[in-house]
Amino acid sequence: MTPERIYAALLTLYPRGFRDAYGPEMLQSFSEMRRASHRPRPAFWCFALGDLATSVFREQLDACRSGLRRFVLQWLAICAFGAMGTSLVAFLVTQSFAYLYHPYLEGLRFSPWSYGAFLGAGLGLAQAVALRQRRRIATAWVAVSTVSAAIGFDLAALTAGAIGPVGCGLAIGAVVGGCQWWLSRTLLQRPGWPVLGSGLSLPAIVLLCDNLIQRALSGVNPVAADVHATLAGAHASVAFDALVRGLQQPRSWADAAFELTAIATTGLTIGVITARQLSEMHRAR
Amino acid sequence: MKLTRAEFHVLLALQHGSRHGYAVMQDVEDLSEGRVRLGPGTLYTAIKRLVAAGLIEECEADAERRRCYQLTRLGKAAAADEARQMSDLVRVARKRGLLSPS
Repeated sequence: MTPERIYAALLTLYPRGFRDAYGPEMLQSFSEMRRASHRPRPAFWCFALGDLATSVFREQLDACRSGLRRFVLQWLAICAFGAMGTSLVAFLVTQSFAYLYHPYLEGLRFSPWSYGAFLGAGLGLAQAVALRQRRRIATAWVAVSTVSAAIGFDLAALTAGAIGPVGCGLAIGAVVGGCQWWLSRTLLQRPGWPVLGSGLSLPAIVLLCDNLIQRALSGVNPVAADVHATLAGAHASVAFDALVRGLQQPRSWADAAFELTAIATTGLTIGVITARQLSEMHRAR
Repeated sequence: MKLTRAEFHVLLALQHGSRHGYAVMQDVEDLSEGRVRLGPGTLYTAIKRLVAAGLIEECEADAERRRCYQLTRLGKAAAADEARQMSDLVRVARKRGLLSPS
């Protein structure tokens, strides 16, 4: 492989806009610099790679500070922290419920849809901050997130026992993706693709999380037993259980940390899936 | 706009007319007597910022059909301003005995 080819491959580390504007010139300058250099080869490469690394870092940072990438990063952070904030609010509500408990309320339980609505509303409200300049869409987004997550959670709870983690993911993914499509169909040229992405990626992620959580839980038996006992379905998805438990009530610090991670992962997953759609809306603004 | 060292060197190199990227790299090395060497990465990030700030602009390609850059009026003023500030700093350093009087 020639040095020029190596350098050309390394140029892909720059943001696309910068690469398109200056990539060919940089390659030409590198080639001329190499031919004119009298330094030993290792010293030349040390200089060239050091120069490349610092400028790549600067350009990537610059790209994150502006434009679409900034919006996408902001969106992902909002989704992760919004989900964690929602978890905290849901926990406080559950605590208040326990504190104000009366025998009259005997047997009353929060059903999965209420946790779904909580997660959807909390996440939707946090996301609305990023969409504040498009108030009409922001309001509709909060409503759609609340309703779709509520329905998705309820459906997931129903299907988890029969189909397991894939059913959970499919239920949440299909409902949330479908509702998002309904909202964004007039704003996007081809809304079908992101929705298909939601429908397919959520089951895969739930399945992956499920395996990872199963492995992690094998060393923490009390937590595992606790999480499994949350939902009646004996074969329900562990990832889904952890999600509901995180919104409901952690019982120890390890429990809280574990479930908060599950909630944050969910928020981040939703953020990754919806970022593309929202960035299109942002670009159209 | 606060100029970095590399950006100021690029402005200095373009002071005597338009240059393409590699010629700027060579000029910077010659002007600094080998003390400053700009690689393509540092050079083109500096060029990008300077073009965006309106301190330099692209000009017609040279005989080898390479994109050239030249100083704008704003760029000349910015370079002169930066040089004046550096000169003031050197004067202060001399006064304080940090540098020997020339």
